Amino acid sequence: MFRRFTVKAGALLFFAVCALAAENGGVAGFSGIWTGTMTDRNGDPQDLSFRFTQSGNVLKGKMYGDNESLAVTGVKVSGKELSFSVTTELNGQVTTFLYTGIISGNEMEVSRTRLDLKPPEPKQPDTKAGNSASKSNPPQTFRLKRLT
Amino acid sequence: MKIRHLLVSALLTSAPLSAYDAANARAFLAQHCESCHGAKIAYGSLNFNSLTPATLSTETERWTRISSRVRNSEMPPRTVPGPGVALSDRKAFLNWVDEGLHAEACAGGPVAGTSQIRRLNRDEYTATVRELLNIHLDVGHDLPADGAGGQGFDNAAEVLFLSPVLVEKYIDAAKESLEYAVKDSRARARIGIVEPGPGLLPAQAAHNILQGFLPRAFRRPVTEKETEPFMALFREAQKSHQTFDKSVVYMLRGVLLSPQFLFHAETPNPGTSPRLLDDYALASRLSYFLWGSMPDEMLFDLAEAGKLHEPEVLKEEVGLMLRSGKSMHFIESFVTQWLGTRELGRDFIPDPKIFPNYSADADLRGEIRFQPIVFFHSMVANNDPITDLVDSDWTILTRKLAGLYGIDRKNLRKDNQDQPHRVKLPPDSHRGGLLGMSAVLAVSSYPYRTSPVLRGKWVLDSILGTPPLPPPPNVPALEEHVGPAPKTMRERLAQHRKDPVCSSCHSSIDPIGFALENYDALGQWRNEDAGKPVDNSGELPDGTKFQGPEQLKAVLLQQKDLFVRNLTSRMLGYSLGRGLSPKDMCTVDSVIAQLRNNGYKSQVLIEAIVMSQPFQYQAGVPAGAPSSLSLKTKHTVTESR
Amino acid sequence: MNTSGFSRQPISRRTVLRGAGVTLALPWLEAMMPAATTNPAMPVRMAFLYMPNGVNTSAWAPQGVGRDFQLSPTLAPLAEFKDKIIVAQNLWNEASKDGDGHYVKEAAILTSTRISKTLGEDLNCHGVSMDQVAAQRAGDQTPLPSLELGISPEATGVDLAVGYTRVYGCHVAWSGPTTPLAREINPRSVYERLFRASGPQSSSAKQDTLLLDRVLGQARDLRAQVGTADRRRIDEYMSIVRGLEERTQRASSGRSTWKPKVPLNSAPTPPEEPKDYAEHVRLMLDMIALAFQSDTTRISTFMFGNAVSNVSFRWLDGVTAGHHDNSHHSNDPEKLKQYQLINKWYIAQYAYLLRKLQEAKEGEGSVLDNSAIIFASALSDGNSHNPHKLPVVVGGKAGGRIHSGQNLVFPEDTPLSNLWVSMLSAFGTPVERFADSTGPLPGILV
Repeated sequence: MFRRFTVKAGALLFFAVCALAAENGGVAGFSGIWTGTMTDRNGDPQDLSFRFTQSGNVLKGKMYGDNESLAVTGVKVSGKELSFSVTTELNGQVTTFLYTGIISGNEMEVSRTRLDLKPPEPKQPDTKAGNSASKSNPPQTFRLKRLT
Repeated sequence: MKIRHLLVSALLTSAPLSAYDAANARAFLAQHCESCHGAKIAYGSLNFNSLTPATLSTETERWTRISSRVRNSEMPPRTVPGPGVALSDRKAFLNWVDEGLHAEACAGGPVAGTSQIRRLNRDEYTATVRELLNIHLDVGHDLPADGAGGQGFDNAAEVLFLSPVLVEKYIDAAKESLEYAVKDSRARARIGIVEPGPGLLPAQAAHNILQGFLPRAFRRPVTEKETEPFMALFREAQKSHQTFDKSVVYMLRGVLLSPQFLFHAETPNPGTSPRLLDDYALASRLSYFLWGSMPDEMLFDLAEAGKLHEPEVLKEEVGLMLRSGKSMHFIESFVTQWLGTRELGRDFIPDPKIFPNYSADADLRGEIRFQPIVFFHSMVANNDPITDLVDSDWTILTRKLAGLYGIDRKNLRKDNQDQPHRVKLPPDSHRGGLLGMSAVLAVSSYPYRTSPVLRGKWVLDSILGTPPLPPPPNVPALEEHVGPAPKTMRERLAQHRKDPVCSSCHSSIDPIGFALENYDALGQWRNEDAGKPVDNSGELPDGTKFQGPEQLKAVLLQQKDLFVRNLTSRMLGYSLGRGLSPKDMCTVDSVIAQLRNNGYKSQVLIEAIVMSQPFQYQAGVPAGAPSSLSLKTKHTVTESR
Repeated sequence: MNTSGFSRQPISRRTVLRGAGVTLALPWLEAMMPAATTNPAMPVRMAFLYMPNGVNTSAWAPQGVGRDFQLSPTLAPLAEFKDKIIVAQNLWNEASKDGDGHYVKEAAILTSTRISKTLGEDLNCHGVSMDQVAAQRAGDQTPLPSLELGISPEATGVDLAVGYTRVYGCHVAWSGPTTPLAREINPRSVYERLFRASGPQSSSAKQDTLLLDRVLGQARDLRAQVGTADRRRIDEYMSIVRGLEERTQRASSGRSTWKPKVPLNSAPTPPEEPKDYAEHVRLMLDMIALAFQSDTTRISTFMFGNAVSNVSFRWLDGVTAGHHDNSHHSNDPEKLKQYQLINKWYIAQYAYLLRKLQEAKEGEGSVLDNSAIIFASALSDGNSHNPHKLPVVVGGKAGGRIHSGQNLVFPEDTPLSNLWVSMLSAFGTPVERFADSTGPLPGILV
């Protein structure tokens, strides 16, 4: 039947494309829309979704929000590893999170660290800043799944 | 063509149906119809003589009409002399016709169905403008409310009609919200306003805005040509020396008044066979179903990537959408219209003299209204079975609701007890499922007293989807005495059920209401009413006996199929924004099968609907089909000069 | 009125609603007056007030026939207008005699047609309501062609028990077979709308005209793309936009001599949220009075409630139940008494509107003298949903075109549409036939 065929063909194509992309790693390998669920501090599930796009040799990204998306900054790709930061502002409180991910197939193991709690100096985040996270602020880990 | 309780109308009555077959149906026609619609006399040019049961497949239209007219007691007319048709006979005949039609409709499997163009309803309009401009105003507050059609929801295309006053309000709302937005930095950012300056001519700046704004407003990619009319508006404003901001407002007012913005307009399928929706149309269907608003950035990105229709992506996205706070709009809209609790606080206000606790406490009023909504949301978020709506060992409570229900506060969570939250119910709380909720028990009562008839009718209609047959036209409606009458309501109703005309329906309606008599008209528990102990026993015509809400709910769960079919039909109708036709029953069947195989999990219901043929496909135009538009209007007015 | 539990910020209301006045030149209005108008300076107004659920028939009909009659207990609040009303008895709308108890009767009261039975699909009243026949012919003489008002928002859901969408129960005005007209229920919104419509047209009106013209272009584009089945909706939209465009164009062209007969700000601004049902009703009637007095429109329909309204009347002395509840009295004397008290309260509200119009002086007489204000229900006895002997009163003299001060008893089952023929004549938009009419009612027209 027409519909069944479409569904199956779509699924096949989906896996084929994803597998290809992931094999290669690097900037191109991370390109796509990723989503996953993290357990927040209160034990409630929180969905996180990102989009990364390849622009020349550079990876750009954004994090989807309920209302508007946030810019992803300081993207670094090294083989199967990806790191980037997202800065949020809520009621004047500026918070920066550092994300590091390792790609494996169509999934990414991600760990998130809250960088500094001191408002409001905007600080250029880099990967080393991860070390400054306080002990009471352990990294949270979750898994991102590739949608496209 | 209308389907109401297809297949199921007779299940709550005692009529034995199993033996009914084509011969019985033929006999029914011969006995009750052919004296007027026969070989000798054929009123309305209808001769049923040749209408054998075998014609169910060839004369579908005709059988559907017969079914509808017999169901509505329009036929046979009461004026025909003789004993008339026994209700059990009528029901058995209807059941046979409906089953036959159903089998016929399903012969080719689920079909897409036709979706009409429909305008955004008031809530959708409000949410869409809010999202589009990133302003937090109730911009649609002055728009007239929309009526309901089809499965009972105000997003049904067929009743979303247009009025001059509505269009006037669109003009005002567009102007007011845009004038507000250009003064707000967050809104300017969302709209994409960048002031012209060195290297950026005003016309270029305006064009840049349109390139970002127009696709979001029309919820699909737009062509360069489509931006032109709006650029013309901008140029017009500039020509009359308006500021840049004012010119932008003028230009965007045009966008917000375009039918491409105001209507859900999917590119029509010109072919004759069903066609998979394009991803942008699918994104819109999804977001208006699950959020009551326009697609967000991620949906647009998925559509742009051409990936949204892929089952794995779609399933993931549905999960994300349901977990998002925005799904509350969908659940509020669906639940309050399905249960009728939307009227609470509007046309239905519990009597302040009898329920001062309700009228004096705005928090309590809100918590009562929101309990079924938050319950449904929590059920979906947890993927609990939909049968929890009939009975559950948990509910949603606040400190005040617990007080209203006489539930010890120690059952609540430790902190933040004023916020609605999920609570495991103690034994004998009588508060499991919808029937334990104040909002439901109130709207199925009079504002000042309970009515077993109204409650019974509410359960048959809202829970089981088997509304009682209407009373014959112009026959007095059910009488319930109040005031100084010597007998109790139960005695009066018992007397009333002795009348065979009334009894045929009320023997199924009243007992259900009796079982809920322990709840007063605000849903508070009572063991006595007017100084007498409450009698909460009921007996259905088939002999099923029950006492009190718990046993009633157990009986209702035995009718689980009815409830599941009802909820599925309503939600499918809501998701499609149209009434269902008999052909949609196949889709309903397939969703029900998926539910049955997956423990009736609530997310399965929504996923299965999203994955269904009518949700994902557009029907084709049947070859040679006449336009459904030709208005068959009689001219009722003759003007004189 | 936001009754939702979610707190929503109200939209910032514009604060510029003051000052009326600037009049525009050139007499286009006189030229367009219908030939039948005898006194062009004093236009005739027409309103229809709909009461749901019928009446206690034992207390409705006046005693005596013709000019010599005594008001019934229910009609007693009309004592001061006895010489300015017509009670019309024995009328009915045959097309709505069966189908169901309420929806077919209410939806078709001004169309005299049999509506299609439906939960929504193929919604069709198969006619145009009497008020809209008038509005379509004479509505261009005032800033608003007509004003549709109500108290309750559109009812929720569909009535599965009888098989009708409740949309039918919420509308008496139909501009076409498939287009019931939306009603306004917020008095403040009505006030602002009247104000804007009748106020001076700034240069923005010209811009609006252009804007609407572009919108029409957009609609044409979409029309070309959609299938035939969807064209009707787009056509509806286009025709409404075109109507608004014409209206704006007329107002901004400088050719209109229309000006408000009284300044709109002579009436107090109504509150956003009326405190109760009774106040809500009064405020809406005030808006009809204001619209008529200022001549912002000459045609209005108003629904005291939707069909099957069970508004509670326990605040009314002697009443312990709701309206619909009491209408199913089953001859219980107590319920009949309460039913009658509710009917009488509605008549008192009707009298309130007549009084307001009476107090509004116009020329030698009052606005009431130049109006026909109809009060009716679509049922007589609510207990049996009786479609015979409908309760109907016409108040005002329609500019001297009708013989008021009478209790007219017509032969049983005289078509209600005959009254609509008479009313359209009195209003100055005569028709030869309306639905099942057999001619104007004798004894009404001068």
